[in-house]
Amino acid sequence: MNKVKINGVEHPIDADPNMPLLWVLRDLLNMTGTKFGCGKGLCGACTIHLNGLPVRSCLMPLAAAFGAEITTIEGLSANGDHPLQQAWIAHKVPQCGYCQSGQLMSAAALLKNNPTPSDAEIKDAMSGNICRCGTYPRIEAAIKSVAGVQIHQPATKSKGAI
Amino acid sequence: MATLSKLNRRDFLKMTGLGSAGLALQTTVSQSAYGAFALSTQKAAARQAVALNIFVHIAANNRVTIMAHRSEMGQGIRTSLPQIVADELDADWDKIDILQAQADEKYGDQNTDGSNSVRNFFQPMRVMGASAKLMLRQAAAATWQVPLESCIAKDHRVTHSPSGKSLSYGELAQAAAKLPLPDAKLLSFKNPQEFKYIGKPMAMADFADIVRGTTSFGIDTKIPDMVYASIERSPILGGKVKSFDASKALLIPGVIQAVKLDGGIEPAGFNPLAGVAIIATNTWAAMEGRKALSVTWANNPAHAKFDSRAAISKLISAPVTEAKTVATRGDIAQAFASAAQTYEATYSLPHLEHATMEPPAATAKVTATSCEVWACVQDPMTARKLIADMLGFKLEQVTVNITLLGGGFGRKSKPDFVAEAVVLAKAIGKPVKVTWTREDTTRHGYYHAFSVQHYNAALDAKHQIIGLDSSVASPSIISLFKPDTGYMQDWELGQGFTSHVYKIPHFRARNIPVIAHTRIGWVRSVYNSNHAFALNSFMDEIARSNKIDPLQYHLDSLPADEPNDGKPTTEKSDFAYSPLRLKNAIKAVQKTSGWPATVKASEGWGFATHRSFESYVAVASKVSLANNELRVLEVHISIDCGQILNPDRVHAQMEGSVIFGLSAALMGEISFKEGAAEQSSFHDYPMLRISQSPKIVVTLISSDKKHSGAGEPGMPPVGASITNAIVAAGGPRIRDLPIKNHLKIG
Repeated sequence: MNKVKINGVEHPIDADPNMPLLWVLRDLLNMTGTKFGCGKGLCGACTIHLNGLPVRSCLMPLAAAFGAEITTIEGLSANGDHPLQQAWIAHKVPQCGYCQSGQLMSAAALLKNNPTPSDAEIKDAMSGNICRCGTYPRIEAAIKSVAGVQIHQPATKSKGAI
Repeated sequence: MATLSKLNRRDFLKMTGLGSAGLALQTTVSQSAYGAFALSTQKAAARQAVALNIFVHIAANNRVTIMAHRSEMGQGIRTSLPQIVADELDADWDKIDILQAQADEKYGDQNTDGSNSVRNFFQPMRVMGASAKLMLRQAAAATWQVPLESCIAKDHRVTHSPSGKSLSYGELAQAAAKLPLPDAKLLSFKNPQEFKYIGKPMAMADFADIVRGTTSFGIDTKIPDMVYASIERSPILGGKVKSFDASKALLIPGVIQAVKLDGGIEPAGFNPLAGVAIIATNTWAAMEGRKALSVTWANNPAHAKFDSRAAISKLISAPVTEAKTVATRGDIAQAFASAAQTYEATYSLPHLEHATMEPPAATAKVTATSCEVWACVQDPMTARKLIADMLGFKLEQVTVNITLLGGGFGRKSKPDFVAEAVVLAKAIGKPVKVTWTREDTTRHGYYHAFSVQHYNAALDAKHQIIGLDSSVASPSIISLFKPDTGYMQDWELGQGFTSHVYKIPHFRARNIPVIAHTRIGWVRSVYNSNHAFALNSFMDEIARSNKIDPLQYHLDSLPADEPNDGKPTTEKSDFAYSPLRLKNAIKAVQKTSGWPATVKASEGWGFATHRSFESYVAVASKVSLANNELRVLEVHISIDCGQILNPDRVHAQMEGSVIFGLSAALMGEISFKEGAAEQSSFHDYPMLRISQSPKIVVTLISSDKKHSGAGEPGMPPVGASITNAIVAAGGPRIRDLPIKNHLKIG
């Protein structure tokens, strides 16, 4: 049986290798923090990290995760205390909250790879994530408040990905 | 009016499943506290009979549980209502648990709609908090055999001030529960300056779970033995399944079976649409099964030719026929006879879909004698009634569990998706979760009505409007429930068409009938956004054509301030139109925007204002227009919504309303061809992205007036502020939304 490493833990998975990771996570592993928004990679609600890079899990087949390190919102930090998660609360970012897992995963990947992004780089990196409630001004403020702050490794056993 | 009572332990256990002893109070609010809209189908006598119970419970372990009986969709109501109780109770916010109520007649109408929640429940929640506090103090006084006045409640404890001895609320709860309810006359309420939580920007109760991804939305439900469904629905209103072939779908691993859904009932109401469901062991298999499914539809010819763009064009160019006069004042003919000048224009707006980020999703479990559902519903009572009627059950046999809502905006008040899950669960004898795809959501919505409005103004020598002759053509929401006459309802017309903020002595408003060819629903701010767009555009056109500053023209067109302003008023007059409050809102954005600000050649400012849901809003927006590409640079918005319970959430609602309004005005259009919606997902029905999001400056106007709406009134003026700014920036006058049909959107 194929295994997939998610948030540092190996999961044996018996499923069609074409099944998008989104549905593997949500329906097979009951990890529902990653959200379905469009199934076409247009809205970013399903954003996860594959080897530290942000990907849309609704388009990413299970087969692409074999041998890779997957991080989801549940594994972004051990105690919900990633600097961005703290900043999201401090800036009172969420409204309905549905898109915020994807927003946080996009933001975390941005800062991991570019700790001091410019305003334009923030907008560019986050423009794949739609928020219908209109939390954009606060997302931007929260990211800026963390930009430049040292981001610690998450307490999961994951290496190379946050 | 609110009536308070004690809740016994057995009933409390029944309501909540919490078995702990303690002090439990419930408050009953007569349904007359609700607006007419929510209750339009109920008789007045029945309204009085139905009670609303919300409660506070103080347990021996010192935890306070407060029931949230409204649906949460980001507006913060699960936090705001408990803020009121906790403040009057002098409770410690960290010791408060918020429990989501199920759908139950006990809570009266739970429809979380019309920006109503704080308006209706502020005072009952205060009474409940103050009563519980008094009982805790009485219990302490009895325990210590000291006068009540010496027992001070503060920070979750009662302290005997002379001796300093104290007991926690938890320690006093059981003794307090044995006391009779205090006379309402003995209650004392805090002065606004004593408020600890009311009026403070408390963090939403759900923040910590949201950022960890551990909240549960409707789409996240998982129950034992559950299977997953995806439904191919009739693309045209009233269509039925003629035949289908699921043989290829059944070959896909994980697909279990195909189930035909009867439907296509008209008027559509909240009944399921006709379709074929693929049932599978996971969501993806169900969606893949659908792709392999082949369905032939029997369409209703009355809707199968519907072309929305052609319908709108025809209404723009056609002469007014069959119009019904819906409001009149003065002598419109005389106004035009004496006019120094006239001005005429026609505006249009298309259908829109809510596009909640969480698509509709519901899980149902049906047995011979019961039904339980888990769903993201804004109006759980309507869902419960619908299910009971469908199954021939009594209401008590139906349990509706309300999850968090991943956006609502009115879509999740329509429980058609819950009905689908119930039908399927009954048909296959297993619990079923129905998940809508984005394509389903976009193509099978309850659409915001398109609107065509014509305005003709008679102006005096000073360019003031002395007569306004207007007409509107827009499908009515009533078409969902009754055979369609094409005419709008009074409350729909009243949202800024038959009533508006300007002083216009001679006035006629007419309604041209339009038959609906799709399901028409209410989307955030409902008809207000259509009427605010047209009238604010029209005012701007008149001002600019006469070289008058548009913001000043609005101020000059408002009635004189009412004589009683600033004095204590009755409840009714708190909601009466106050030109002064509107002027203050306008002046607030005038100040923050620096209006009339000087700008670069390719930039411009636009202004618009609107009063809805009893609140007053003004918007000033700055755009740039280079090489026919529009960018929105700044939006300044002010609101007077009376007293503010949670300023942070009102602020957030203003930011959200601006962004929602920009998505609609810039890019929002659902068009129909051959009866079916042409758009399907975010590529052809785009939403504003962070890269397009302007600087937003919010002003919350401090007021001692009664609370009014905050979730919806921010949106209506946004669109016209942009089209007006486009003209200021040297661009064209756009009378037909969306803007993307005229300019490139940057």
